[in-house]
Amino acid sequence: MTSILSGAIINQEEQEINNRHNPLMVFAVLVFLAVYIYLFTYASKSLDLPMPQDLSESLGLHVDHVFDSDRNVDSSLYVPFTNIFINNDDERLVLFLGAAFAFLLVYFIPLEHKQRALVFSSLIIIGILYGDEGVAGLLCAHSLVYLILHPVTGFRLSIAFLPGFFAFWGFYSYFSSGPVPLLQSVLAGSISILIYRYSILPILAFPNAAKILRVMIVQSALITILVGALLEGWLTETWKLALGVLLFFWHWERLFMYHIDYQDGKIPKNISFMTYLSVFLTPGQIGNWNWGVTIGQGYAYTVNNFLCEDKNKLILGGLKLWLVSLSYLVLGDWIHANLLTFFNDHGILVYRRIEHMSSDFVSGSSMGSATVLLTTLIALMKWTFSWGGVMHFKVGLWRVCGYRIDPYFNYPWLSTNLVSLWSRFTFHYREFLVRAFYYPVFFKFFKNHTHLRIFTATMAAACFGNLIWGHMTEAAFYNGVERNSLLISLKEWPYFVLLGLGITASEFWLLHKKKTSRRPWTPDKYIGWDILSAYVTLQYFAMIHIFVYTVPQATLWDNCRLFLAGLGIQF
Amino acid sequence: MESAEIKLHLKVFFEEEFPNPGNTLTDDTNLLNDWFVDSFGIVNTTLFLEKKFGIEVCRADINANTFRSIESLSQYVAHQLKSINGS
Repeated sequence: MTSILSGAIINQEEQEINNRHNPLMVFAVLVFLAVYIYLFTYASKSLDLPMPQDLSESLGLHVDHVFDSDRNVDSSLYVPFTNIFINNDDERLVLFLGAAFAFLLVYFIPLEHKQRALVFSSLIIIGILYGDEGVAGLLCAHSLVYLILHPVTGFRLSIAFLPGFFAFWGFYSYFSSGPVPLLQSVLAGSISILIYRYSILPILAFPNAAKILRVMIVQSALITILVGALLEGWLTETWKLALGVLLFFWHWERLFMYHIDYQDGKIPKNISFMTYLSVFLTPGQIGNWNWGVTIGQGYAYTVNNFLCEDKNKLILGGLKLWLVSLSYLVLGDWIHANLLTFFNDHGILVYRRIEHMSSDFVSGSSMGSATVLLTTLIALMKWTFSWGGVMHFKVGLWRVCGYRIDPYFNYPWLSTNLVSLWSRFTFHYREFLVRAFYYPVFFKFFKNHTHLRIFTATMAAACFGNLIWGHMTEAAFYNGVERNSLLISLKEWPYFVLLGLGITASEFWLLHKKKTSRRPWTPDKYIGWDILSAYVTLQYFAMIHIFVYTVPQATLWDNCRLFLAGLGIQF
Repeated sequence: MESAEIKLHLKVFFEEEFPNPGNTLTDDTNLLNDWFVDSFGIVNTTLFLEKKFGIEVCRADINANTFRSIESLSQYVAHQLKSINGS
């Protein structure tokens, strides 16, 4: 649980001690990556090896819902926003080979170069997958953020060359051949030095103006989508975000946490651009770029958890997560499909998706309590397999690269209340909400009214921050910077309210419950209560998704009636 | 308030609020690794510190160095009390 508070500061001597080599671990990591390559790419076909489905069938295992039409394993693990390769199997191959390259580099390179090596290897992988447009856009945005948060003068002023230079390549990459564009990009870089030196630096000299500028740059994603949506509503023209900008915007929750560390004085004043980049650019974030975007959190968490334990122990932890990831990715759909078949064969109607149930309900079909409960719970399970499989791969890769990163999903089914579920389910995102919204409210308002204090802090985080800063912006990243994207996401508000109220109720219960010496899941006569509590917690969390996974024609009242039908109350 | 007294109050609070049978709570026990059940423990502890010792906990004080152990927490409380009494 150390990481809940970003870990204690680690020094270089301790990191050196934790940097001992173990060839067995290197071999194990490469074997795991080879398994990923075998299962999820076309490598076996290229190497004239039996495809995973052929191998499975030759062993007498004829299983449905595991393999796709090209006879390897169908997977949620993918690389989004790319059009460079023919299909995602090839992109996955680049990701896994890139992961192997990054791992070998960071494992064997001397300590002082390790994080730099991770930045470079990440940029190489991003460059192959997203092209120079992606790399340049990302570096343009990050160099701009760095220059505003950490003003540079003297010879370091040369860093101000980067935003202009990379902006040219990020936004106009289709002109990228010949000496003329190179000269133009150098000119753009030179202009950006002048702009920085003579307009931005003077602004940064005024504390209040600097503060506004910093907030603007940290909130750039939200500002962009709000302005973009307004203009779209007004001019009916949709902004298309440049690829690198979109990739950068998926970093913005982490940038938010970086800024909190900055405000708390946790970041050294003389931090180098490379160290800044090492917080954001690691191979662990590349797969499913838009999933688990808060993994790694801000500066303190990333830096304090790098080689803070023996690196081979960290790798072992990563490999355990990869094992779980493989089982989720390979068997998740199979378990889901068989559960549906089981219940439907036994006369209990269970839908494959909550949206299908919602659609039938709106069309006039009545829904039994069992149908609503099981459909939502099994959908949550399916979603956890899919999401958990990917997240465990990503966190595993962070660990393999030397970071002690907490799992994104930490046995969520053991949660006996919503506070515990909030910690165990999407842990890093929860940390973002707590640090960005819960703590600022909790430490500022209603200090003499404990319950009101907890209520407002929880609603600020789980409801308000979660909806506006988490989901609304993502909706625009996914569906386009349009007014409609924002309005659709705002319609999901009942989910956020119910989540906030549920967590608040759990907090009150934890505050006042009778203290006992018993811990949850102790194998004694009370374990039945733990099982019941866990079921109620998960079922509640699953059911409130009725307000998210709905159909456009369903009204708020329809969704409420469906929710109540799950509780056995029919209207 | 003496350091020993602060530690005693903290120890009683942690043993009652976050019971951990089978484990002995010492001044150096790593609270974050070995004692808290979840993050609400931090909130609960903050409420206790403010109520019991009359200190004001700020957001920046919520970090691993402060909450690591009873020893570090008692040092923090003593420092805060000193600031209050000194001002």
